[in-house]
Amino acid sequence: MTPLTRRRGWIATPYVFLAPALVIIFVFIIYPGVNMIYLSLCRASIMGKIAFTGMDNYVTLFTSSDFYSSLTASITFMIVVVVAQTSIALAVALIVQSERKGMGALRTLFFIPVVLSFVVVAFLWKFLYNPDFGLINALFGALSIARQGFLSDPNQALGSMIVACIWKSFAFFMMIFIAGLKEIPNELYEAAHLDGAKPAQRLRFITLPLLRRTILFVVVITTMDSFIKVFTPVFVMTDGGPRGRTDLLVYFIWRTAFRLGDIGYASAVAMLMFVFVLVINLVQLKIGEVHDAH
Amino acid sequence: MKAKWFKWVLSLVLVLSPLGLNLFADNAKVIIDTFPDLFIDQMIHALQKAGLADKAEIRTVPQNQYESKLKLTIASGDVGDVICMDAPNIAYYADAGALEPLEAYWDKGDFNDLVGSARSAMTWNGKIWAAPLNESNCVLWYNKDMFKAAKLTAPTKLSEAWTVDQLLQAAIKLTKKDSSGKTTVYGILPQMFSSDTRNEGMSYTQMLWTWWFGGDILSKDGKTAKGYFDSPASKQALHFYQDLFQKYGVAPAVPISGGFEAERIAMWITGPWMIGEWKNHFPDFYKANKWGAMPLPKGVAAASNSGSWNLAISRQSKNKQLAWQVVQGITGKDGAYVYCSETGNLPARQSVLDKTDMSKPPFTIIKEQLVQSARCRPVTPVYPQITYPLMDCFNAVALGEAVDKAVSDAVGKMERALK
Repeated sequence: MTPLTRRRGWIATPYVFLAPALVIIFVFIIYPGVNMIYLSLCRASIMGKIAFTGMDNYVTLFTSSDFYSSLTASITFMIVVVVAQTSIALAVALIVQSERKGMGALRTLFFIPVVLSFVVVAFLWKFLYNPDFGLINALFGALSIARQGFLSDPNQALGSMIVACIWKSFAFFMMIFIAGLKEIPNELYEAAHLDGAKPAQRLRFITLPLLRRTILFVVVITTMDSFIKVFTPVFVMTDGGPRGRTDLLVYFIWRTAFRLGDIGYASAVAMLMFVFVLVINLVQLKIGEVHDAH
Repeated sequence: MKAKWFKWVLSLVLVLSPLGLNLFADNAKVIIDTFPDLFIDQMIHALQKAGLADKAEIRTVPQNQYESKLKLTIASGDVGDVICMDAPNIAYYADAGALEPLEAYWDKGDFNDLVGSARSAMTWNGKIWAAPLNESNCVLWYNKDMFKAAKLTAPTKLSEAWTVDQLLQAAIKLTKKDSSGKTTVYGILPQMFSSDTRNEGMSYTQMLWTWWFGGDILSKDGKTAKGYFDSPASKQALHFYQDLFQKYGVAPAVPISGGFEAERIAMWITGPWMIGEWKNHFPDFYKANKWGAMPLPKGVAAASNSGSWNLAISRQSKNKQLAWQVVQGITGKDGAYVYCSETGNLPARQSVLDKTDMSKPPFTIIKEQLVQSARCRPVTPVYPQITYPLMDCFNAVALGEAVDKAVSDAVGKMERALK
């Protein structure tokens, strides 16, 4: 034993083993986080010029129509994706969860987009949506439906991107729901069936209540993913346009930092986004706790 | 004893030599940061002619990552000695302290060999910051067959350039619709790419419209956009531009891939580099020789664009003298002639322009425009925060946004950056 370990009540060994992880957490999470808070209070160029300006960046932020437009687009994207993707994932999970013939192949087919790179998916859908030679408009033409602008139409661009993102990701959550559904005892369904409960009633009174924790997990993860991880589709498909309709917050931060070189302002936006996501997650977890208590 | 001493010295030399510590040769090199589309081979040819090919090493990243990567390498201290730089961004990097001023290296007489627009673009805050690889300019390309069918005659000299109203009338004549009312041929694409694109090529061509109507982007001192980009003249330009898309339907609001080459767009404002594009990627279109060039239109003022890629010396360079020799090797009178004649790019030096065969269109027109009407983009350290609001404003009005609102948004963003 070393002299240190002989001190009453203090043992060094666990800290020695924790040290590498703590160093990594400090270097890659804590230090950049604290630095970001400082940069958000400065006029800072990406090439090194920094001048403390206090709350100027936040004042600019709260009076910027660009920021509100980006925030609105991000919130819209998040709400639609959370609701639609979760519903689709659950609905498909209910269909493919059984062990009937062909269901395994169907699950695999649905899961293929999940393993594709998002860059590949974004390019694929960009070509599908092309107003000139895209497959979707070609099908519309064949069915005498008017050609659509999709990613070129300010009113359709965000929705078009949402479809591509849901197509890519829903099967991942489908698998989570399948795992959750398998945890529900079959006897409950048998008993309900014997009592004359219809499928919709079994879904409402057995499946959904017992899947509550899984649904909460999926909603929390989808919320975070759809708010803070949507960069690639914007970068590849629309560059934030048309008319800024797909300029989601993460992309807004990136282009402010790396295209305009204004990392002070970008840090302020990132801080606000951090607070926003924290609040959403706390609210969601609280709702989950209230339901559990009930 | 002497033999032992000699053996030690010899052993030291033999050991150190493989480590690159060759005591008898000068192998200092400068690193040039650039991207692959900037005609690397031609830069090397220019350096070979100057006897400097072994003094430079070229390092590339893809063009769409270049600006972001450049900022990061400057911040991290890993930037090359010589940096390729787009003209309107020179003031931005100079203001950030990233560039070495060149007056101490560049002979004034040689600097004055540059055409006026190039001299303006290289200068900021009273100092010279870069040397141009080449200049640039745009023309109004047109489809000869469609012009013939519409009985239109394209002007061939700057003095005969169409007015914007004549351009509109021609675009209306050239626009064709099918029996269902769908437009099959658009009269004009009035900027470099489609209206859903956000890159510098858009600002480069869209600000022409502001200039043609007598407006401007910023004040002469570059300190404000208020009263300039939101002036009545600038707004009139935006109204006219919007009408091309919305009121008259002669310009496409949706992207049409290869629209000019597919003969779905009759006129197009873009640069002479398209000849190389057509030769390499649209050989049938190129060989059919259906494309002609005419001077850009004019409004209350004639104006053409300018500004291309340049070489600057990094302030972090430890070999500034050698870096300057390399820059001069590529952009000096001899190097510029090699580079421009092999790439087909427009020379930025008057002496090289005079030596270059500009006797065939579009180069006859370009030479006239470059000398008589070329203007450089606003020279300001916050150019990145000027160009995006500008192109967003033009793109928004093309898609139907109210001009006053779009201009107000743009000027607000520009003013925030300029303050």
